[in-house]
Amino acid sequence: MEPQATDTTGHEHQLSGDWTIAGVVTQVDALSSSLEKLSAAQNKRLHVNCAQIRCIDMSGIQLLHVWLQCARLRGISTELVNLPETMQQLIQRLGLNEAFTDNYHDAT
Amino acid sequence: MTIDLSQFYQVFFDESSEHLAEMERIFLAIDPANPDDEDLNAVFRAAHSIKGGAGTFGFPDMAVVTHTLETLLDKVRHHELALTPEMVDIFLQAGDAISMQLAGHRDGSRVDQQVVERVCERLQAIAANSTAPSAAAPMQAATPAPAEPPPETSPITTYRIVFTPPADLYNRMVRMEPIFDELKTMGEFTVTGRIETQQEFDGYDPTRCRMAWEMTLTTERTVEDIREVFMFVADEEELFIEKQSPEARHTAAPPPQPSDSAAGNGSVMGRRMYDRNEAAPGAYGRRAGETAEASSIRVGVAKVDQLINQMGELVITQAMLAQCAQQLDPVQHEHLHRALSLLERNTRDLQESVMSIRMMPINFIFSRFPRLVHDLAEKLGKQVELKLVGETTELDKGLVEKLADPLTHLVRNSLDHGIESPEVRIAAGKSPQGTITLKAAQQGGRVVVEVADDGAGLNRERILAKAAQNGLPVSDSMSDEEVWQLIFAPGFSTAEQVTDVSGRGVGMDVVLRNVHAMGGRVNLFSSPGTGSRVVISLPLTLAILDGLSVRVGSETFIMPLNSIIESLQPLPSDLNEVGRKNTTVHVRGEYIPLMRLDDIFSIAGAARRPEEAVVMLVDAEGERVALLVDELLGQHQVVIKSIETNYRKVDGTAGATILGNGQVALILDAVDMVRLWRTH
Amino acid sequence: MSMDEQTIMTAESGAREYLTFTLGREEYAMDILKVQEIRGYDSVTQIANTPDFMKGVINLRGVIVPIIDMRIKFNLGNAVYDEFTVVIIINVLGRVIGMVVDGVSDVVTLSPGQIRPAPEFGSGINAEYITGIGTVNEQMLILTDIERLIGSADMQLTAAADNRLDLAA
Repeated sequence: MEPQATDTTGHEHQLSGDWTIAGVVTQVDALSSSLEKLSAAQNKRLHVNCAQIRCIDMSGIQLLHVWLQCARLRGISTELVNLPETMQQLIQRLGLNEAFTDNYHDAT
Repeated sequence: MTIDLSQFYQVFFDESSEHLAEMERIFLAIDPANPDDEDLNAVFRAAHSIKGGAGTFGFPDMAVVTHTLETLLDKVRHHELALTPEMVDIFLQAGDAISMQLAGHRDGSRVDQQVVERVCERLQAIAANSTAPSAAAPMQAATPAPAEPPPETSPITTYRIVFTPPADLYNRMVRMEPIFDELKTMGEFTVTGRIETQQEFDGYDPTRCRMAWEMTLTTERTVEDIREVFMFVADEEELFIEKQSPEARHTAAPPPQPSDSAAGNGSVMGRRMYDRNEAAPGAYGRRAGETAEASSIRVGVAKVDQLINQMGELVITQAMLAQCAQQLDPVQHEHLHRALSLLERNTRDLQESVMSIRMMPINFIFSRFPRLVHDLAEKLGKQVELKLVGETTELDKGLVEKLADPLTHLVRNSLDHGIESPEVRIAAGKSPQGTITLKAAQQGGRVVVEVADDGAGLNRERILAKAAQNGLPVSDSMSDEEVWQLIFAPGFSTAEQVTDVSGRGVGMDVVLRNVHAMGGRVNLFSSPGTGSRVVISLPLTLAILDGLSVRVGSETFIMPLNSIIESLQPLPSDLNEVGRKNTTVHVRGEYIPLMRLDDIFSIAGAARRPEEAVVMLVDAEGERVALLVDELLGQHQVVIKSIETNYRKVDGTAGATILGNGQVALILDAVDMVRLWRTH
Repeated sequence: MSMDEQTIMTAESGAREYLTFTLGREEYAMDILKVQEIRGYDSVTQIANTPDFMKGVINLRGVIVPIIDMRIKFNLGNAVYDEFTVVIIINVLGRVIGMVVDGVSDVVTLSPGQIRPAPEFGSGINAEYITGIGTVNEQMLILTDIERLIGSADMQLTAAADNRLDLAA
C-alpha cells in the first residue's frame, strides 16, 4: 500500500471528512454513486485517495474495506493511495494489514 | 448522527466505583506483614479492571495511575515485592486519586492534578526501589509445608483467542487498539482482523460491526487474565479462548468468520437483534456465575422517589374514600364497604412493598468510617479501633443519607475530643488503644444509632465554664444531663484549639437540628474518665406511619401505633390524684403517671374528668406513661408531611400529616411529650 | 398609565412591581415576586404554645404552611375571620408562609423616582422593616421588606438554632 502518484488512466475518488462512527453514515451515499458510475464506465480502475480523511476509526476502516470489496466484485480494480499516518497505524494495530492487501480471501 | 455516550460510560463508572471501594476495604484490613494472597489477587484484579476500562473508554489519566498501581500490585501478589504499611498508605492514596479522577469524568468536579502527580511520584518511587526481588519470602508463620509457587502464574502457554463482537460494537464507542496493546504486554501477541464480505453495497449499514479478530498469545498468564482484558467489551460467548500446544501455534488456523451464518443478501450480524441488558449475567464480561448481581437492577433514585410520593398520595386518597364511606350505612352499602376494606388491605401491602424498596442497610454510611478513623487517628497520633455493630440494620434511604453528616461529626468529635492520646490513656490505667463503637439497631418502630467511645467523657466543669462565658444561663445545681444539653446550643465549643477536624462548635447544634429534621432525637450520656455515648433515635421511615387518631377537645392528633401499649377507660378508683400534675393511673398493680394532652397542648374544651375520657398507655422509649385523650377515633395509615420545611418542629410532636378531610393533624411523640410535661 | 406603558417603564427604568395590601388604615406594598398566591382563610390547625399572631398551619395542596396574622402581630385593625378574610401566601427564605391581612388591592409598578425614604416614626409595622414610602395617584404605600420581617427572631417561625439574628454569636 505504498502511496503512489495517481495513475492518469484511472478514476480518482477522493475520500474526506469524518470516517468515524459519527460520520460513516454520511459517507455511504458518495461511495454508492461512485460505484454506480464506475460500473457503467469503460475504464474500471479506481484510485482511492485517502489524504483528506480527517479522522477514522474501526467503523470507517470497515466501511472502506466493504466498499473496496464491492467494487472488486463489480470488476473494478482498486488502489488505496495517500493514506494518512494515523490511518495506516490503525489498520496495523487492528491486525488488518492482510485484509487490505490485494489478496482477498474468498467469501463463504 | 448523535449518540448518547453517557449510558455506556455509566456502567464503567459504577463498576469502577465498586472496584475502588473493594480496594480500599481490602487495604484497610490487610496485614502488611502477613497479607492474604486472595486479597492481593483481588486488589490486583480490581486495579486491572479499572485500567482496562479506562483505556477502552478513553480516560487515559485514570489508565496511567492505575497502570502504575497495577504493576506494583502484580509484583506484590507474585511475592516479588514485600508489602509495607507505608506502601499500603500510598496505595490508599492512589485509590483516592483515581476516585477523584473518576468523579472528574463523571460529575465534572475539579481534579487536583498536584495530588495526582504526587501519588504517581510515590508509586514510581516504590517501583524504582523494587527492581531487586524482595529477599524475604512472605513471612508466613513457620509452617513445615514447602512454600507453594505464586498462585497466579502458569507455565507458558499459547492461546488462540477469537473475538466475534456484536453488531453494536462501534456504537458503544469501543476501541480495540488499547485491548490489543494490553495483550501485547502479556507476551508474544499477534492479531488478525477479518471483515465480513458484503455482496451488495446498497442498503449497507456502516454502523454495524462486521469485524472479527483472531489472536494468538504466548504467555504465562491465565485464561482469566485474558478474559479480564476484554472485560468491558466482550460477553462470555463472544470471546473464545483455547489453549494450543506449541506445535499447533505454527499451523495456520482457519480464519474466524464474523458470526453471521446467513452470509450475503445484505444480511447483518444476526446474533444481537435485541437490546443488550446491561444487568444480565454475562453482560460486559461479568461472569455468569455472579448471580448476586443478576438478582438486582439499578434504578434511578428519582424514579423511586416518585413511586414513594405517588404511594403517599394513594394512601391519602384511600383515607378520603374511607372517610366518605363512613357516612354511608354499612348494611345498605355492604359491597362498597367490603371493597373499600379490600382496597385498604391492598394499599397497605403495596405501601409496605414500596417502602421496602427504599430501605437500605446502614452499612452504606458505616462503611466510610473505617477509612476516616484510620486516617484521622494517624493524623492525631492516637490509636483507635473502630467497631461496627448492627451494620445490616435497614432504614429508609433518605434517612441514611441525612445521617451521614451528623454521624461523621460525632465520630470526629470522639476522635478529636473523646479518645485521649496513648500516653494519657496509659497514665489513666487504660489500654493505649481507644475504641469507638458505631451501633445500629431497630427498636420498637424506630432505629437507634449510637456512637460510643471509651475516652475521657464529657468534662462538666469545662462545659459549664464555656457556657457561662457565652452568656448561657448556668448554675452548679444543674444535673449532668442538663449540662450535656448545653453542648447543643449554637455557637458553643469547648475545644481548646479549633482543630480543622471538627471545627468550631457549630457542630453539635447542627447535629441536633439535622436529627430533628429527620423526626429523630439525640441523647447524650457520659461518664468522666470512662467515655461517652451519643444515641440517635429515628423513625423507621420518613414517609408513612400507622397511627391512631385521637380527639382532644376539638383537635385531632395522631398517635403512632408502635408506641401504644393499650387503651382503657379508667374507673374513678383507678385514678390517684395528688394535685393536677401528679395523677397516676393504676393498671395491673402499677402506678403509671398520667399526662393530660389538653394541658400539654393548651386545648380548651377537653373532658375534665379522666373517667369521662380515655387513657392510652404508651411506651416512651422504655418508660411507660399514660395519656389522657377525649376519644379514640380510628386507626389509619398516615402520610408524614414535613412541617419543618415551612415552619418548624412543634414540641411534643414528631411531624404532621394531612387527614382524609384535608385538615392538618400533628403526630404525637411520647418521649417529647414527657419532656414537655416535666419541664413545665 | 396603560399596561404597555407600564411594562416598558418596568423594563427600562429599574422599576419594580408590588402587591398592595391593607392592614388597619394603611396601605402596604410588597415585592410581587415573593407572592405565590392569595387565598381565603379556613381550616387552620392550631399549634399549642405559640404567639397569638401564629394562627396555626394549613394544608396547601399537600404542603403544610404556617399562617401568621399580621393584624394581630402589629396590632392593626380587627382580627376578624370570615369569608372576606384574605391570606397572602408568600415564598421567602426558602419557606412558604401565609399572612392574614385586611385586604389585597392592586399590583402597582413603582420606579425609584416614586419612592421616598421612610420617616423615622411610623405606626403599624416596625420602621426596620420599612424600605420606603411609595406614591401612586396620591396614594401613599408603605414599602415593606417582607423577607426581613418574616425572618426576624420575634416571628418565631424558625427554630431557635436556625434563627439568623441569633447566629451572630
